[in-house]
Amino acid sequence: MSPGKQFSRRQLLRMAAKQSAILAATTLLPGITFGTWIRPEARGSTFDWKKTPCRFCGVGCGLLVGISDKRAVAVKGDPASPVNKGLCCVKGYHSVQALYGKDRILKARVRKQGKMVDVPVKEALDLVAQKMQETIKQHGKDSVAMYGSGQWTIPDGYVASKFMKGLIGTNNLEANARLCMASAVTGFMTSFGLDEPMGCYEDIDHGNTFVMWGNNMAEMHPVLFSRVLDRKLHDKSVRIIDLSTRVTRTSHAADLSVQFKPNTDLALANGIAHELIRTNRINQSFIDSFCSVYRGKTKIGFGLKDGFAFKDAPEKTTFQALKDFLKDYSAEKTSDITGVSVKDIKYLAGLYGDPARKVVSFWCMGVNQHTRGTWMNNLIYNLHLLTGKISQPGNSPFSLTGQPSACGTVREVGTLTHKLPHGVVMNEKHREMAAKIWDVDVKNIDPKPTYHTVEMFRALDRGDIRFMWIQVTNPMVTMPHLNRYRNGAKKDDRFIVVSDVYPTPTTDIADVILPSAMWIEREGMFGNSERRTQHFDQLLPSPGETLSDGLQIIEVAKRMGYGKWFPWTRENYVEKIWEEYSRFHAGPKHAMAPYQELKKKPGVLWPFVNGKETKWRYNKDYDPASKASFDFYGKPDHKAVLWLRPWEAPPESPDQEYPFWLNTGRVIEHWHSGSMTRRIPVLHQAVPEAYAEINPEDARRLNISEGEKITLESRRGKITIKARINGRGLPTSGQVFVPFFDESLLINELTLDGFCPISKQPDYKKCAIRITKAV
Amino acid sequence: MQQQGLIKTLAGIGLGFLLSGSMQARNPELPTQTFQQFNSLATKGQASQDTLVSPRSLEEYHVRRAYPGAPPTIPHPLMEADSKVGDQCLSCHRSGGFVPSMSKFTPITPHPEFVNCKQCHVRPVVSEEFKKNMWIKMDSPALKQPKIPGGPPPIPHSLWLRENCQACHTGPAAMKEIKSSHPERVHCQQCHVEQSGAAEFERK
Repeated sequence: MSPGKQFSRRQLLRMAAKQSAILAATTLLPGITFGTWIRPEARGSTFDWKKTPCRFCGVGCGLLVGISDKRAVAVKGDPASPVNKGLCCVKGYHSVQALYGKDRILKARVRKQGKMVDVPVKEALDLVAQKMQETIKQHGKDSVAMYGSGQWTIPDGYVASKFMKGLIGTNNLEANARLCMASAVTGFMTSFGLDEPMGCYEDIDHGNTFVMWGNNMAEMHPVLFSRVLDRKLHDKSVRIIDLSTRVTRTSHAADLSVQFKPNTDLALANGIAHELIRTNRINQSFIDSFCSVYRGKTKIGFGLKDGFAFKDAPEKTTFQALKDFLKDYSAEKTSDITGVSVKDIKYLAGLYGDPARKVVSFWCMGVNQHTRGTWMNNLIYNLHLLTGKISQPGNSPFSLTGQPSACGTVREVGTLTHKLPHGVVMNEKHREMAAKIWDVDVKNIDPKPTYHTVEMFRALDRGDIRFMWIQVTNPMVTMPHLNRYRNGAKKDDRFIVVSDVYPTPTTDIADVILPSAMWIEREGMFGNSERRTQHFDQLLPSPGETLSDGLQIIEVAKRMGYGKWFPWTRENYVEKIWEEYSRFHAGPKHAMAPYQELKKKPGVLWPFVNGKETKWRYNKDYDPASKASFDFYGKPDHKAVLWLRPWEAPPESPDQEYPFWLNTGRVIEHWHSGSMTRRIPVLHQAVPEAYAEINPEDARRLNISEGEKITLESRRGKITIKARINGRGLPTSGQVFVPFFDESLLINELTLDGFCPISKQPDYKKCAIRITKAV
Repeated sequence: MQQQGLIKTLAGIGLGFLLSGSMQARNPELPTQTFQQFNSLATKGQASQDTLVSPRSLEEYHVRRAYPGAPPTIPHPLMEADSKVGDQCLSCHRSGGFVPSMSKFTPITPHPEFVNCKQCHVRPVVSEEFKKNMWIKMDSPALKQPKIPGGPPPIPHSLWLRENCQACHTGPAAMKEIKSSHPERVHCQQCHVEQSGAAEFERK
């Protein structure tokens, strides 16, 4: 590069004079351009970028939202977030558009003489309080219920818990995470005694073997999947394995994609365990030092009838008993059950057993929405315990969460019938702790759990519950065996309050609709799959008469005489709640970061101990609560559990009358029941309606062509829907897949409300249907 | 300088056409009219990338994005089987090239290291909305805003995922409004810098 051009002093002065002349002229005569120089205007480039976790899935990407003139105008991935490192997915990039749908609920509505009319929100809140009080007076405290969500912020869930369990004194508090993560929770509790993953997303950076158990990670946890793909670019030893019942985008990206027959994942996991033991690729010293072995009851039912109750009877046993038990799962026998080849079963065992491989297992709804979901979680943990590949960087059985705050709110605050923010209602010490922090009489807290979600809606149908307040969820689209529960909610003498942001089939059956402030229109926190709590400020004004869900509950609580327990202002309530809530989790096993830390950082992992995040729990090198090299301190004997869990058939399989499997799920563009994502133009335009994926051979046999309307029918309901052949997913022969985002195609009218007896989580992936051409 | 660049580009296109021409011989369904038109103009020394195909415009660029910097939607028909996770999309979008069936040059991705393309880019299959959305679309950044006359305009957009300037500012697929006048200079950030929006320096 040549030395800079030398300006003579005269040239410089002349240039300077010219510039200042132009500057002066422009100021004096604005709007007139001088020469070729136009004074640059900050058009579209001056606005604030503010951090928030994404509104959608359980990955919990950090976003930066561009705010201009009190509107959200743009989104960037937050490069400072260790979760997504500046990348988002199509939903995250367009998330802010979900705030601006024209039919946003901005006013309260109340049903008067069968019609919904707008009323001032104060009047609606008065009515809710009044109805709640009346119902309690007439039918007792257990006749009122609240149904919340894994999309509740942490402070909202905390307020709900304090209100229902501490003040009203009922355990009729459930959340939609029962339908998505309950089996993951009971899996953790039975295997380790404590909830939530022992590892974190950083395991992706260290692992070189990634096994997807029945989850379409490319579409459902896309940004995490991109992190896995990135590993493949930089490390030739990386292998991605897809284990599924249907071929998806994830399958195409995998090194090996193996399909197993629905529900036989139980056998497949046992088959791999058998093979590991047979070829002696287990870590015997790890097993001897850090594991105990238990068996539970078998043939435990499916909860198909009201009032179904189940209590397991764990029985301690020996490692030899486990070996004997696994004799039924030789590679050959497993192959017969699952349809997976012997060669692939042995290859999978080889991956888990190879000492040079660090294995991360990922799973989500395929494993959890399963009538033996708890068992399936246990069986994946077994593989990591047998090989000692756990609680270390890169060796990680990683249970992925679906919703943005199923962990943060439902699991950590404990908005479920049996839970308290610390511990369970059945435990006297836990009740005493709650009573102390909440400043209520310990006798107020009911020691007996009442209903899990499916039972709660059954109770509403029967009339044992007469009042239900639903927040941030859409059960009239998402309950399995939907017609029963919709009919139940619509019965006379059932008072339904719904807090939401858009009209949905659930607001359609409400007696009161309360307008909710959405996401960044109020301050809050979410907690994602990797134990990361992320704070967001209120970034936008809350429109119309909207109030945050938590403030709505507080307003009703005040009207019922409980104001003393919610003494905060609208400005400080989130901070104050965080301070109070954090007390429940004090200690090195679960300590939460202080409020100011959360405000500053793109999220903080818990446990947060002495200013440091615990990335790997139960491992002395990383976890200050761990007293031994591996210390599974959730269990009284400090040992993780190897469970003997058999393969059992599901409650309803295809037969002569109903010869097809029905599987349901999502697509990347749409979130759950679509109330937000369908109102984002680009997402609706990409996938405007639901469809039924059919295998091309089945289509040929039934003479069905692409786009043709077909009728799917189960023992519970039927639906007419367009066929999709060779779409993004390819079901195996004898299977149909339908996404559930489309409220005009309610696939859950066909699904079965059978559930895992331990977790009570329903199985949305398997029931029997028949297909006919629509007339 | 301009001449040299033009000749280089023409040579490149010429080669591309030679190749696609041989393909056309095998596939008579591809349009030949435009190829012949270009050929005749080229022999007269009157051809350029602008005369052949309607050059891409900034307007169509912004139509595909919900806001400046949003991932663009996919404007061309697409089979699921042709767009799996991996480098299928990259077979066109990594290095560009002319696509006769669309009479356009393929835009080049500035971020080929990400291979789960449909994580962010989706294809609209209908044009109407489900329910009306009151989204207000931000203005796109103003162009050609040097800080002093004749100076190099600063970069009006974030470089995040858009570090490869050549992908959008050079080559036959570049939008005409932002096509660089000096594509042979490849160290762009020597003169063009990002802006942070910080307030002016003031000594405290």
